Amino acid sequence: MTDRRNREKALERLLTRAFAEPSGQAGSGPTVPATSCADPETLAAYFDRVMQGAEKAAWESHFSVCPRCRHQLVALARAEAAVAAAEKQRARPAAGWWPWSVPLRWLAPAAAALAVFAVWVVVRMLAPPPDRQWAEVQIARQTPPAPPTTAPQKTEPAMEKALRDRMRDLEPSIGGVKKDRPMRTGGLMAKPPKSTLGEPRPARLPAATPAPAVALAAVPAASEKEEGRPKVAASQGLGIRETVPQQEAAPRKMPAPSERPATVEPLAQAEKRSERDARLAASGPVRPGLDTPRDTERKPSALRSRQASTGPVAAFRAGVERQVIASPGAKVLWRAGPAGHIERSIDGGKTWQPQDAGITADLLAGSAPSESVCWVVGRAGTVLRTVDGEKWERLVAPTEMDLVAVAASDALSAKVVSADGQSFVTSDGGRTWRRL
Amino acid sequence: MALGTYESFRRQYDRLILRLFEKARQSLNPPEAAWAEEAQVHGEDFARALYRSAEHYFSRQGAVRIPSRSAVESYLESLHLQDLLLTCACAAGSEPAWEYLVKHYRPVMRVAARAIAGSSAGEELADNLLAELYGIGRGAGLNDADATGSPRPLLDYFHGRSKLSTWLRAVLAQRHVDVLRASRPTESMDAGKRESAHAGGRAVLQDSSELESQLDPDRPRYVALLQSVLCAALAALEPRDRLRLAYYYVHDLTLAQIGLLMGEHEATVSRKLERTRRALRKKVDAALRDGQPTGQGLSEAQIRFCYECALEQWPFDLTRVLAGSSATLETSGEKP
Repeated sequence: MTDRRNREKALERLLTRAFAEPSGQAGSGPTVPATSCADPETLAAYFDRVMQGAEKAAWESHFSVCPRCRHQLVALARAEAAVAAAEKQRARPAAGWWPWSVPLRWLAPAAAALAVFAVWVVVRMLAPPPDRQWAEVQIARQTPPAPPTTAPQKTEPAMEKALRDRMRDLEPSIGGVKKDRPMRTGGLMAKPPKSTLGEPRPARLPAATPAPAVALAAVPAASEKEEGRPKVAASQGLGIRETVPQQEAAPRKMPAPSERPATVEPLAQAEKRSERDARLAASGPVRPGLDTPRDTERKPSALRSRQASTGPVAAFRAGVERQVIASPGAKVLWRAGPAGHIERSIDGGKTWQPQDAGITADLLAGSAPSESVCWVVGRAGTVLRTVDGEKWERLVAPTEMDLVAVAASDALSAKVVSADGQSFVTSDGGRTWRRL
Repeated sequence: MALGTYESFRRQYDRLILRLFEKARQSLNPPEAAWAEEAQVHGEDFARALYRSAEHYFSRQGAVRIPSRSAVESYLESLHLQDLLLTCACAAGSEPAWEYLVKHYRPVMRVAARAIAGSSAGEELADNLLAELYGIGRGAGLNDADATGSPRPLLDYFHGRSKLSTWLRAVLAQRHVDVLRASRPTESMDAGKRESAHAGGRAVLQDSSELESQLDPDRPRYVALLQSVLCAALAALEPRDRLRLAYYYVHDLTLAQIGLLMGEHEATVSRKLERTRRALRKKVDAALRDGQPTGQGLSEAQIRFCYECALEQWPFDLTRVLAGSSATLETSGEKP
C-alpha cells in the first residue's frame, strides 16, 4: 500500500515537473508543422463549442500534441475568466452605495414595515387621548349651560359632586358597602345592559335621571338587611349586586377627590366608555379607528384652506417663482411666473405693468433679444412671444413637455430646451421647430 | 475550391443569402440597428463573406466533392450573422460600424489582452490589433494577399463560425504566443546544462553531471527506460485524456479553466485526471514488468529504483514527452 502510494506520488511528481528553461516553455519549436495548426477561426470555434463530432475529436488530438495551439487555448481560457470577472464587477452596484451587507431582497419588506410604523405613529399623534374626549363629553352632559372645557381639573369636581350626590341617595337603602370595593351606583356609573353591536341601545341614562334611585328604592327594606344574601337591583337591568354585611355600617361619605382611592378612577373611565358606547350605538355602527363620532366632523374647512396655502401644492407653486427677463440695456424688463402671470417694466424695474398673455400655465423661463421682442416658455410646451413689447401670442409647441429654457436671438430665431433635455430650434418665428 | 466559384455559389444559394441577410438586419437590437441603417451594407459584401466562410469550412473538412446543398445551408444557418454583418460593414469602411465596434469591443479586448499578456503589454496588443483591423499598419500572422496582390483585410478572416468577441481574443492569443516563441533564446550547448534530443519521436533527457554518473552508472539507463515507457503510455491515451494532463501538468491550469476549455465540470475534470493518472501508473508498471521495450522485465525492486531515480535530482520534461508522443502520432497519420 505504501509502495503504491509512493509510486503514485512519484508519477505525479514526474508529471508536474518541467524544465524551467526556454526550451521547456511553449514548446521548443513545434514538432507539428505550423501550417497544420489551428487558425484563430478554428480555435474560436472550438472554444465556443461550435465544433462537434469527428471534427472536434480530430482537433483535440492535434491540440494534445501541439504546444503552440495549447498555449493559445490556455490564453483564451485566461482571457475568458478575466472578461467574466470584469463583467461581474461592472454589474455589481458601486461600492459604498449599499453600506450594509443586508441583501437587497430584504429591502422591500423592511421598507413596507417602516412605512406601516410611520403611519401608525402619525395616526397616534393626530388622535386626541380618549380620557380627555370623554371628560369633555361628561362635562357637556353634566353642566349643559356651561361651555365645554377640556381642562381635566374642571371636570373632576363636577363629576365628583354628581357622584357624591348619588352616593348620598343610595347609602341609606344599601346600608353600607365593603371598603375595598368601589361603590357601584346608578345613574352615570350604571353599566348599561349588553346589546349586540349595531342595535340601538335604549337611551337609558340621561344626565341626572332619578330612575336608578327609584329603582333601588323599590327594593324591599327587609331584604336589605338579610345576611349574606346578594341584593340585585330589580329594574332596568342595572346589574348592581351588593353583598349586605351582617352589621349595618354607618353611612359612608364619599371621600373628597384628593382622598378618593385610586379604584374609583377606573370605574369612572368605564362609565365614560359605556356612555360613549351608548351614544355610538345610537348613532349607528361603530367605525373602526374612530374614538368619537365627532372625529369625522373635526375636519374644519380651515384645515383645507391651510393645506391649500401651506401644503405641497402651495410649496410647489411657491417654487415656481417669477422670472425676470431683461432686455439688452436692462431698461425694459419682463417678469413671468405662475399661472401665466406676465408683467413689464419700462423703467428698469421700478414699476411694473401687468400684461395679459391669455394663458394660465406656469411660465418658467424667458429671453428678450431686444426691448420689444421677448420669448417666454413654460409648462406643457408653452411658447409665448411678443414683438411689440405689449401683445403676446402663443406659438406652436415643439413638444408637450415642460420647456425650461429659451435663448432667442431675434423675433424669428430661438432655441428652447425641454425638461427631458431635448432642444428645439426655430428660424421662422415658431411656425416650425427642428429638434437638435 | 470546395464550393465551386463564387458565381455558381451565388446562383445556387441566392434566395438563402438574401434571407440570411434580412434575418441578420432584422435581428439587430436598436442600438446596433443605427449602424446597420447607416452602414449601407450591400448584400453583395455579405454574400461574399458567406462564400468565404463556407469555402474555408468545407475545404478544411477535406471534402473531395462539392458538399450537399443541405450541408451548406445547415452551415450557413449556424453562423453568427450579426457579427458577420458588422465585419462586412467595417470592411466596407463604414464609420458608424467602426464606432460601434470600437465602443463595444475595445474594452473587452483590453481586459482579455491584459489577462493574456500582462497589463501594459496587453493594452498595446489590443490597440495594435484594433489599428490593424482598421487598416493602419500591417500585423504578423494573417493577412494573405488577395488576387490583386494587396494584403487581405484582417476582418476577412472572420468567418462567423464563432462569436466576433471570441475570434478577436483568439487573434490576440495567437499573436502573443507567436511573439513569445519568436523571442525565446536558443538552447545553450554549454556543459552542465541539460540537453535534449529527439530520437525516433521519443525525447531523452540526459543528465550531463559526471558526478552523478560516477555515483550510479545505472541511473541514466533506468531513467531512459522509464521515460520511454511513460512516452508510450501517454501516446496510448485518448487525446482528451492527454490534453487534460497537458493542461494540468504543463500549463498549470486550474480545474475550472480546464473544464472551460473542455466543456466539462470541475468535478468531472478532477475525476478524469485521477483516473488517467491511475491508468498511466498501471501501464508504466506493467510495461516495466513485462520488459517493454527492452525485452527484459524488471523486478519490483528495480521498478522502485526507476521511480526513485526519476524523483531525485533529475526532473522530467513532460512537454518534451508530450511533444515526443505527438511525433509518434504524426507518423501514424493522425492529422486533423
